[in-house]
Amino acid sequence: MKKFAVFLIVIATSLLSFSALAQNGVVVSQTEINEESVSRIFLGQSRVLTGVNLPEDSATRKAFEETLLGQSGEQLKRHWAKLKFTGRATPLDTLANDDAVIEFLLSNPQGIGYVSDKSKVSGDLKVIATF
Amino acid sequence: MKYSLAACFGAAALVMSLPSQAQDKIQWSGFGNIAAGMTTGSDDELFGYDNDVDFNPESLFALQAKANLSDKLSVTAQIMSRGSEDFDLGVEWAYLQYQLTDAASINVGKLRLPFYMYSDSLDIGYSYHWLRTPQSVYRVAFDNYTGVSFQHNAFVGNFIFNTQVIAGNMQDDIEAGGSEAAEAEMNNLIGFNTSAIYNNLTMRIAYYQTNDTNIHLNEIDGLLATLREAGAAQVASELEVSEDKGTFAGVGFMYDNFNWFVGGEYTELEVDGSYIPEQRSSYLTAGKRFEDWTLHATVGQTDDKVIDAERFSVPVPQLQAVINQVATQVISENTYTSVGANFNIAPSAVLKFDVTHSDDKLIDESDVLVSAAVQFVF
Repeated sequence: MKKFAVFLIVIATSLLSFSALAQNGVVVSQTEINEESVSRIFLGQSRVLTGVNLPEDSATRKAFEETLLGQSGEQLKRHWAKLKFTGRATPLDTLANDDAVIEFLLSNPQGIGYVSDKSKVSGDLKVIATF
Repeated sequence: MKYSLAACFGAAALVMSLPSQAQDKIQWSGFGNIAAGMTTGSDDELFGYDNDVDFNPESLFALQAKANLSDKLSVTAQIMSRGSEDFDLGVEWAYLQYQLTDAASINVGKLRLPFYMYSDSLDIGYSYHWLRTPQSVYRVAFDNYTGVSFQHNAFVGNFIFNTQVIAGNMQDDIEAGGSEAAEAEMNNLIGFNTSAIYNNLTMRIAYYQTNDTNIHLNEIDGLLATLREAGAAQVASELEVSEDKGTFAGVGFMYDNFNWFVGGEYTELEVDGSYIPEQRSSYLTAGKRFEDWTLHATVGQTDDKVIDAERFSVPVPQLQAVINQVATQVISENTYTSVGANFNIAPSAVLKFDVTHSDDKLIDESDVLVSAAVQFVF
């Protein structure tokens, strides 16, 4: 019984420390840019770089939107609906997964995106921000 | 309606005549609003609703097609079907957009007249918290103009400035004085609006003017003719909206920290030398979000003033009575109070409930409207 309790405590602490240390993902581009500009690009206010999104149901996208943009998916959806139907901005493309984002960024020096797996950042790609 | 049908075919033809390469790249999207409402009192009437449940006044469907002709040039058409117009198709927006720089673009075509904070997105109920924008302020009877619009985004410190400068003409059949249809025309319309966005706070100012406002109202044709025959041509011209100067000014703000929000707008509209009073309109709104729910309340009021009533005076009492009737009929002194609840029923659809109480101070009459709507984008 005692062993079981210790086992539970070990599991619980490792889960806690894991979630405390866990990084949801990184923002990646070939072009150096400050974090403020990242928000502006993904909020449709700036076109200095071409942003790409992960699918709407992606946990990484959710973390990126809530942490870096400070908005929920629902709020961003309303925001982008307004931009799209009033000609203020064109919706950003959505790519299927990390690999597709990395592939896009490697061939587009003016592209910017985010991925969950930091180890995939290679070549000319730079980590712009962590979330 | 003939005009919009022609424009509709024009836009459709334009989209279809694009090179097939561009046709493959047409981005289709759309939005809709299915709304129903009824007033609680048997004699009550508000925003086009009466005591019988009606789906027509505010239901609408829209389809938008956008094609990129190059990486800088695009063409967009938005076709809309409104219940209030028997679901006839009409072109709401149709424009070419040229991206001048990363921060600036120019639109040419049929565009939305951006008087108010939510003019651009007026029909996209999904994008704002109300079931309908506050009718105390959103009461200019025409929405669109034909011309150009220049948009610019600037970043200064932590501020984002969105500026839009427009120039163009407007011609439309409108409802004036809540009764008969009238023809309205504004030429040489110019103006701008600027929004300053600082974190969760947006502040906006807008100013527009035209030196050539014309509203032809059949109802007063007889009166104007009588005045001219009676030698009171000056009074007739003071009443008539013909080649008159019109100005519109507005300020607004919205603070939204995604947990709760508060906002408001104040606008003033004047048409010099006409029967139209100085229109002063305002509202304040606030709300709070809970998971999938949003609860909110809005108060609004109109406070119109006749500018210099002396200019309408004639020596014939009977005629004076008719003039006074015309001049007071268009005055609005209403207060509106609304409470609303929204529920997100799907990722791109929201169900909204609204109860609005309206109080007309001039005739001491109040109306209550209960409405519900499903608003969506796709």
